[in-house]
Amino acid sequence: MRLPSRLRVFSTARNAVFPRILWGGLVFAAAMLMVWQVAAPDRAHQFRQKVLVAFSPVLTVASDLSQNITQILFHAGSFTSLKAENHELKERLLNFQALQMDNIKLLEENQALRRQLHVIDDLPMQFISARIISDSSSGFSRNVVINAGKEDGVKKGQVVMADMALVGRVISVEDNIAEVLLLQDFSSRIPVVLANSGEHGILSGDGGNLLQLRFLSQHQLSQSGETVLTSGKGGGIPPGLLVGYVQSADVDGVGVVPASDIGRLRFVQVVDYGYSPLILKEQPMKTTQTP
Amino acid sequence: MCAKPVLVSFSRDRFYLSLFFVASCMAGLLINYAPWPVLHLNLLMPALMPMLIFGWVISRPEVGGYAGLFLFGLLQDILFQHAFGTHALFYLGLSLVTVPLRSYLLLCNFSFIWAVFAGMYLIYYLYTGLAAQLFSGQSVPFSIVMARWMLGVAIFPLIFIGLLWSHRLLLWRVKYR
Repeated sequence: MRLPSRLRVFSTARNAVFPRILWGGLVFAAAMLMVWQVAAPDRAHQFRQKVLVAFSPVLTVASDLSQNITQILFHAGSFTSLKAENHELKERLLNFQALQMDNIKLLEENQALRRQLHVIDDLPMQFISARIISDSSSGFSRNVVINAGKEDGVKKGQVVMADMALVGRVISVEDNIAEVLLLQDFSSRIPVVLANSGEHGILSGDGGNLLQLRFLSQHQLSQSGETVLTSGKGGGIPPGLLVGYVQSADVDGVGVVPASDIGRLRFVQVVDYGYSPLILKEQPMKTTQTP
Repeated sequence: MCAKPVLVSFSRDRFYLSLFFVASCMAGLLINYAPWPVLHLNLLMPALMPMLIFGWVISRPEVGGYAGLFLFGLLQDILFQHAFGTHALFYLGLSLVTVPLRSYLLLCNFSFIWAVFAGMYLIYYLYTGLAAQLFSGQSVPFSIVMARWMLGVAIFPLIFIGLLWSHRLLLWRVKYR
């Protein structure tokens, strides 16, 4: 078929030698990059981090834009229900004030009992609030980048929470940004315990929203709605943090819904418990030498 | 629906088109990479870069060139934690297959281009899924991949016709302002 001249612009160039050499060279370069990543994963990771740092200002602007657009498009209708929402919030506030009074009494009683029993206090928690500036969930990994890094006190291995529930942990830190591996990621493994039965297991992600609870005893299947907490085994993550709730439990496995919906979050809290071995591994403790 | 190709001058307006190529690809990358804190949009959002690259290769392959496809593929690999070179290889392969066919495709009805894109997009997800499984053991539930593929195929006409109309508007302004 003879083509019109206006459509033959590129087809005349395809017979040229240079584009073919260029194409072959670039394919070779791409293949070499793959080999390089497999051969030197640490350097490849450092390279990736440098690119992420270089792009972080652009990512911050893009994050602002996306959140503003989301606000305008998806939350514009909510202004109409403000009055009803306000009324409901006032009612909730009254309930919480009543609960707070009870809590203060319980707290005082608890502290008195702890003093009598000489219970060692938990280490103090330090929160660093950070904004999510990118979300690579549309790829095959499930991680986010936050706008807090070494300069803000973030360290590798620290846990990341939102709505007082675990959402992931820090896997790499640069000066101003940090990368957080979400619970939903394929490579995420968290030791957990079921609140009611006390059954221990490993919570893993599969890329989707539902988490999978593995290595549970076959005879003690959990109940739907049961709370899942971190067990603290392995030492990487403190015990007792809320992770999610059992949604479905059968012989094939146990599905867990995360307590915090990362798909709707804009801010997270990086929590420093101060005793994580993963953090200590990065910054070894000084040992005193006896003379 | 038949998309008529709009070809004006190639040499004079190439700079503006190159800028537009870079801007559109960056926008595609950032839209996918930015957090969308509503309705799990990030999880279901289809990959925009293959659509844009396919659109550019069909309409103006000389603007981005092989080097442009390679660089944006590499950038996508870096941002989305794929093995380096995965997307670069795919886009180079896509250009190799599509460029000789583009003249014929542009003469066809748009539905034919759409069908070719749907096939290419399916291959894209299978290929990236296989690469992710091979290099890092990562996988995504099949239902999510299919949902992304269907959404991507559904919005492709908007992207493609948007690109063609943008070329027309851009070149018209450059030529006659």
